[in-house]
Amino acid sequence: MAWHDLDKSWHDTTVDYCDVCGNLLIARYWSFVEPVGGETRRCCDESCERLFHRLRRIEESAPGS
Amino acid sequence: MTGTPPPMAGIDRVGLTLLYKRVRNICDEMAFAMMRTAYSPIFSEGLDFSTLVLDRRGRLIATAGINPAMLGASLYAATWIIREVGPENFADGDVFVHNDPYRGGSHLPEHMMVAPIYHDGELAAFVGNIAHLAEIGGMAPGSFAATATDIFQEGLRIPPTKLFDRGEPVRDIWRIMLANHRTPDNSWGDLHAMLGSLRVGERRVGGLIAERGIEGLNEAFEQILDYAEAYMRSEIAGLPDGIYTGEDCMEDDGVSDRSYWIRSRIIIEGDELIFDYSRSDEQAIGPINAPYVVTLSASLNGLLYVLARDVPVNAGIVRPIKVVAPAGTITCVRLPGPCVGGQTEFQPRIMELVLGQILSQILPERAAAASGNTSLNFLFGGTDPRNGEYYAHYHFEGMGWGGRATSDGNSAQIVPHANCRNTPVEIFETKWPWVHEEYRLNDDTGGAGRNRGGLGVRRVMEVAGDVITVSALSERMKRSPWGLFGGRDGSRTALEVAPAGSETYETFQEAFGLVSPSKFANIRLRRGDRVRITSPSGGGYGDPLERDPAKVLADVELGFVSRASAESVYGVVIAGGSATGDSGQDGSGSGDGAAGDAAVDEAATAELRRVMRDGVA
Amino acid sequence: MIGTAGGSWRIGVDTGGTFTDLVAVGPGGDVRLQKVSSTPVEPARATFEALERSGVDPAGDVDSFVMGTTIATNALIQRRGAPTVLITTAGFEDLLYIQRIDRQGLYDLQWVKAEPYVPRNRVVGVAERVLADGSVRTPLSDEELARVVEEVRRITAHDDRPAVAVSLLFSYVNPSHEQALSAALAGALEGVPVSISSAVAPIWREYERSNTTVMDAYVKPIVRDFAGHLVRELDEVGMQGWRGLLRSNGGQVAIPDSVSKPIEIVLSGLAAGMISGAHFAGAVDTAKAVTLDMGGTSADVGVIVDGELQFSGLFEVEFGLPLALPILDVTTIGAGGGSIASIDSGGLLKVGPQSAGAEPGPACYGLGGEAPTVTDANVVMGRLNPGYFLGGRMSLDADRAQRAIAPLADRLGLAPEDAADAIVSVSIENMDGAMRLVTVDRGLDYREFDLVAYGGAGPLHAVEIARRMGMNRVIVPPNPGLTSAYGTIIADQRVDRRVTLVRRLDDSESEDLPAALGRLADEVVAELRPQLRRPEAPVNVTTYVACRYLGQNYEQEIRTEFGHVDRSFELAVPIGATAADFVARLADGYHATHSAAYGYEMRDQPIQSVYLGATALSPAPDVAIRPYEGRYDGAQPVTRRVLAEAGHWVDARIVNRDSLAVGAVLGGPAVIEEADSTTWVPPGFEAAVHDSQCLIIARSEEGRR
Repeated sequence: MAWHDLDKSWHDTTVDYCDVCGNLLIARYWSFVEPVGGETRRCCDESCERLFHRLRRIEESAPGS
Repeated sequence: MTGTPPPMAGIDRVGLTLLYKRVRNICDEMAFAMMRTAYSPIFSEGLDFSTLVLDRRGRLIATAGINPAMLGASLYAATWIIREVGPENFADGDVFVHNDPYRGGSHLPEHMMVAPIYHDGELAAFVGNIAHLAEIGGMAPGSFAATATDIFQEGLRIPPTKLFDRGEPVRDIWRIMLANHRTPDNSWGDLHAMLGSLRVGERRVGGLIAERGIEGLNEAFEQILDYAEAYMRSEIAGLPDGIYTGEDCMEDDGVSDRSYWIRSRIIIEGDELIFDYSRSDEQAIGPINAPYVVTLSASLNGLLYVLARDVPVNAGIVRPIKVVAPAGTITCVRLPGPCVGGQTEFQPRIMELVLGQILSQILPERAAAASGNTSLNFLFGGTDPRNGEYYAHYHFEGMGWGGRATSDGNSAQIVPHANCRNTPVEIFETKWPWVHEEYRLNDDTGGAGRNRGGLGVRRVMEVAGDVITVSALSERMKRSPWGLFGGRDGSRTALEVAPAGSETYETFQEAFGLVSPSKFANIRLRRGDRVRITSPSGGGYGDPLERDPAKVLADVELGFVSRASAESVYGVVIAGGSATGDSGQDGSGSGDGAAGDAAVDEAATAELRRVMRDGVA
Repeated sequence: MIGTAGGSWRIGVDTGGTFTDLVAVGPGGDVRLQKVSSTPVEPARATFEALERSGVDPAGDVDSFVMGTTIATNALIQRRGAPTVLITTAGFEDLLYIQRIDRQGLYDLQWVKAEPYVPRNRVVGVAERVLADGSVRTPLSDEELARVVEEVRRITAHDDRPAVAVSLLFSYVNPSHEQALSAALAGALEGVPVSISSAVAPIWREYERSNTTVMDAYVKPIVRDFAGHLVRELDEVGMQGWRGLLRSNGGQVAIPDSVSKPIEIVLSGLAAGMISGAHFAGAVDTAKAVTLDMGGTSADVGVIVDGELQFSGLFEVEFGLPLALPILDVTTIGAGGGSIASIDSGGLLKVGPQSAGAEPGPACYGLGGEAPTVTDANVVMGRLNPGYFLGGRMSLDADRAQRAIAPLADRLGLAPEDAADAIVSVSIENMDGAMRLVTVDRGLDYREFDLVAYGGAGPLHAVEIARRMGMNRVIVPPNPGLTSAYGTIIADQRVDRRVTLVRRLDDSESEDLPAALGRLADEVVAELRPQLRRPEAPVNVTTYVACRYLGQNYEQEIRTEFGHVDRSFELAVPIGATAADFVARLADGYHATHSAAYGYEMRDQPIQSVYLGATALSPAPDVAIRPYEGRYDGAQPVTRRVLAEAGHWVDARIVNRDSLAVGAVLGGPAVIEEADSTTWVPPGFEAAVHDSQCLIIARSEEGRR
């Protein structure tokens, strides 16, 4: 749960995506560790982390909807 | 909570209204400058562009109401450019250009320009615009390569790049761009129209800064964003909480016969809303994928269509909204996926999914059945025999819109996620070597319903040059525009060709052995060949048996609906007159019951409708 | 306003939606002013009532009678025109339904496309085809001609006074098929008027041209009846003078001539106000001005550059129904005294475009209106005098105004008078936006402009608008509420023509440009000459070429004043210099105009002409105005509490306009009242009475500091 810089060399023209919403990650990203599974996720900012938990909660209460 | 949001402390509401109107006016002025000076008819006649005023972080403060399809790019692209370049690397007089769909662009033809505005050496704000250039290279003239399998075939991709450096043109960049476009003179003119529009914006925003100072202006900008956020929250709070789902598909991707499904769910909780597309199919091989901003545009546009019409469109409106479109799905394309059709075909599909299928569950009176829902892109290029010059054009077609709660769908309207105009036949034929045989409404095709779907159009034109290379990128050839609440489906798109001297039309697919009927590239047509473009009609709204018989009669009299359909679909029996109805494919366009002696046979109609409803004779 | 000695009466009438105004200037400088309620069903009745009340003897020494009328406008808006048939190229019968495929609002799913003036079963397709270069691909055969005539006869068989419009593809390049149809129809269908597009509006873009032609046909029978009726009534009262109507281009036209091309009088009413605005701008020697005519429901904004009104090639009756003719360039927005204030769902204050109109009207009229309006706000602020509205013929109810505004003030968390100030401010911002577009769209910097304000509500808001926009001075003409009627008197006689001619200036094909321009100049002169009120009157001819960079799709008009047209109007002589020289100067003019408007030029890009235009104009004789006999000396000032801005009440001097003599200077805060309007002079400004009797309002010395 911290900000990180996206270190890219100037001639690297590829881009990275938020693991939660799919939007672009530019210059920096927010990371958090998934509570189940323990995977590290890269996302836009804290709001995407909250979104992640929220979607999980919805999924648990109404699976497959 | 519904209605008015609570008063915001410490805000001068009147002052805010006044400032916002002024910023909007600046965008309008920028738009006028662009329209009057552009070269490509798609942005001078078609108005396929947007103008933007942004704060010093690149957040959208206001935009001119021209093309809603560019909303997503308007909201994000400038922010991304500024972050990637770094605010410290801008200087007074710089202009950046960018068309990268992986960096906030919608598709390659749409170029964005942004220019920083400085005041006493300090960065104060940005102005920007986005415009669709008609030709930017790639594998097919008109840069709509319907059979592209990666973005490198779609044209020249430009990450954020300095076009002007402290007021001086960066000539190498200009030369690279122009060398890669098939009609560089056109691009030169259009790029200047964009620059001219930025200059208008710079002057006027400069005036605002002089009046209010950098801090004062940015504080006010902040309040404008807060206001838009409060507005959206208030509107969303008025919708019932819940999870709503819908799905629709792209028929094929131009390179294979497979269809791709978009699965959407909308989660409404209090004053926040989530669009979740994570269950959609993986990205396609062909160019129907959407970049993230296109999916975002479509979602917001669908929502804005059914919510209040006068919400200020700026970066504040997305705060209560999240769009989940995981990278690698058709809703968020990854390198090197092609995506030129995402903007024109995928976007309207999602937008109508949101406003027609999903929101109709909670706001039936504000929803509409499906429109023809394709931009029907038809591209062509060649050498004009009249002057020996190379030309390329990006053509689109109007279609029928879906029926609505209180009225029939409009006929011959641009696809709802855009707001472009057609090119008049007289301008068309003066500029390009085609001769039109007809351009008319396509009778008896509107999806039946209590409120009927609007009619599509039919255009027949003959090649008047030696060779014209054509391409197409369209949809709605395999699946019809859907009706709503018992309304019938509308009719489909058709792209057909008749070789010189023949009266027999066949589809492009049959004639040239294509994979897709709706998406193809680089077909060479010769002098005398004729093309017939038929655009889809809209779906109907409500049960056709509930349609006012007087309206059915009027439709028959005007030839919009045949007498046969009046009976078989609407259950309306018309007596007397000579209303022949079936004007069909070669109809004269005028119904024939004009003498006023045709009338609805009330008794027979009531009986027929009863039978059709209950199934008992 | 008081006229100077002249020979005989010149009578001008403006028939608006609410009031019919009459201004008559007569012998010995006698001036008669009348404002009566309009009679929309029978517009002439109000006219003759006003005439009778004015006391001018119609059978006496009347020089002229000129009218600005909304008869054609209303026929279009209310769709009361003739049953019309459209004849068009086969295959394109639906162009009136297809239109331009765009829509009015971005997020308006419920929007309904404008219904055409001609329904589909009254459109006749004709087998013929002309190509872009004017060559004929499919000739129009005699059999086809006969078939079409029969078809039209069948459709119109049971019509009450039908009309026919003919608009074929590329007829602006080659009109022969349209002319053949017109001749055949005229021969076969007696008394049915025929409008052909190559005569009505020979410009490209088939939808715009066709719709304009359809509208011409659609209003023709109504205008013909109206004109006939008016002439008969004028004959009955024994009027001997010249009778004319005002055209959309701001020129007078003899009543019989207006009938042949009635589409040209569609903006008759609007034009009257703008002509007057331009006149008073000239009277105070301002070359650049914005005109603001603000009434009850709307505000009309126009621009004057180099002392001349500007023209536009396109006007929409409603969205999607364009009128493509040179008309005075006017932008109308829904901002008037009756505009209603409300709070939108984001919690912000909105004013207009809904209007309370004349009925029920603003809350303070006491006619049942309850919604707070701009007029109510002005009453609450003390700027309008409840006891002297329309010169005291109507009184306003200040309590009702206050009560109407109170709920809105509560929601805004403001005191009622501050809410009133907010309403006026937002309304001013609406006008501000329209005025900026009117200027900036044309590449003009409004900060160099004066503001000429009239109409009932214009002078009340003008100084605040000018202050906000940083404009120069405000000019308020005498009797601002009757400015439009005055405009009909002072209008010139003029004829405008446009014709499409697409030529590349860097190609030898442009050689025929000057000759074509010369022919066009001949035509306008030939058309104007027989209409002239005074055959010996001088005629001025101006010509222009609309150009663009090859590839652009919008053009700008470049004046071509190279002396190639003889002002004697006997003959348009060929250009003195060579054609090449003409074209080179035209190109220079275009580069410079483009640069001035948009900040850049492209010298290496080819330029293309799009259309040519010519105007023949015969100026109206001057109407001089004699000064008021002002008596105001400020010795015993009457004052009233007026809200100058939110939270700031001042004691404003209340002065009757009649009492201000030429040369008088009145410092703000002040309210200048007259029967038909009220002028607000805020603190820090002063109003000076100019020789022309216009008020010129500018920052005072004190205000400048």
